[in-house]
Amino acid sequence: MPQPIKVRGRFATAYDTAETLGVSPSRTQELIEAVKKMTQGVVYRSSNKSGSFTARKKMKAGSPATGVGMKKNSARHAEATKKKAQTRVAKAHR
Amino acid sequence: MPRQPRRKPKRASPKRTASTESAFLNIPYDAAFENLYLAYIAGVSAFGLKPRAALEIPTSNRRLERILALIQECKYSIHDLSRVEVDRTPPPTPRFNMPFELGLTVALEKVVIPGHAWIVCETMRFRLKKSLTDLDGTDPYVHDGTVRGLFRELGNAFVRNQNQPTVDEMMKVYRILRANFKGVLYRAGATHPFNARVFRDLCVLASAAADDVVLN
Repeated sequence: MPQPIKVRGRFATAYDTAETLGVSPSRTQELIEAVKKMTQGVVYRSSNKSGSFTARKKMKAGSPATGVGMKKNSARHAEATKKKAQTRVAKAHR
Repeated sequence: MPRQPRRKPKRASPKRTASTESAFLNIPYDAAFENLYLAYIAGVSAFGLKPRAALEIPTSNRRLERILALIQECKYSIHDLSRVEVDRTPPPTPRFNMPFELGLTVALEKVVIPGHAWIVCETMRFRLKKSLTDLDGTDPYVHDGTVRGLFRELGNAFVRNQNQPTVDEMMKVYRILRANFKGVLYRAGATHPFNARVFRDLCVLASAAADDVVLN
C-alpha cells in the first residue's frame, strides 16, 4: 500500500469553497443554514473522543415528544385520557 | 556623547496562515455513479479540501485548456477508473475521459507541477493491471463501488495532522448531502447532478456539513 498523502493546508470552510467555486454569499448562507437545520441539536461528538456520535434532539418548549427515539403516545397525557373517558361516559348515557 | 540612532520599531511580520487546498475529481458522470459522485464530494470536503471538477467548465472549444488550468490549480487529484467497460448505448464505446485526464495529470506533475499528488481509484482489484499496464507499480485504491468503501480508501490515501475525519464522520457528511440533494436539483431545475450549478451547491453544502461534523 502506498504512503498516505499528507494534507497540510488549512481546513477549507464553506466560505472558502463558495469563494473558489463562485457561489454567491446569499446562496452560501442559505446552504449553510440548511445544513445547520439538520445538524443543530441532533449530532454531538461523544466526549470520549472515540469518534462516535450521540444522537440527541433539543426539546421545543411545550412539545410532548421529549427526544429522538421516544414514542409519542397521547394516551399517557392525563388531559387526553380524561377527555376520552368523559366522551365514553356521555355516549353511554345517551 | 554621540546620540544613538533611534531604532525603527520592528514591523510585525504578517501572520502566516496556511492556505486552503483543492482536489481535482476525475470521475465518471453517469447515473449509475451518482452515489459515488456524492460520496467523493462528501469525502474530499471532510478532509478540508475544496472539490474541483471538469463539470465547472462549460462545454466549449477551450475546454481542454481549462481542464489543464484546473488541474494546475489543485494540489491533489483523484482519478476514478471504474468505468472502463464498453458503454451499451450505440455506438458502443469505452469512456476515454478519465484515463486521458489521468495522463494529463501525470504529465503535468512530471513537468509543470512537481508537488502535485495524485491517486487512482478502482472498483475491482487487479483490473487496472489489465486495463492500464503503463501504471504498473502504482497501487490503485479499490473501493468496491460502495460509499463506505470509498471513505475507507480516502482515509487510507489522505492523512491530516488535525481533524482527520473518520469513516463515520464522512458518512454523516454524505447523509446530509443526500438529504439536501433533491432540493438542490429542484432549485437548479436539473434532472441529474452532473452540471455546474448543482456541483457548486453540493460542494458548498458538503463543506458546511464538514465544518459542523468534523471541526466542531
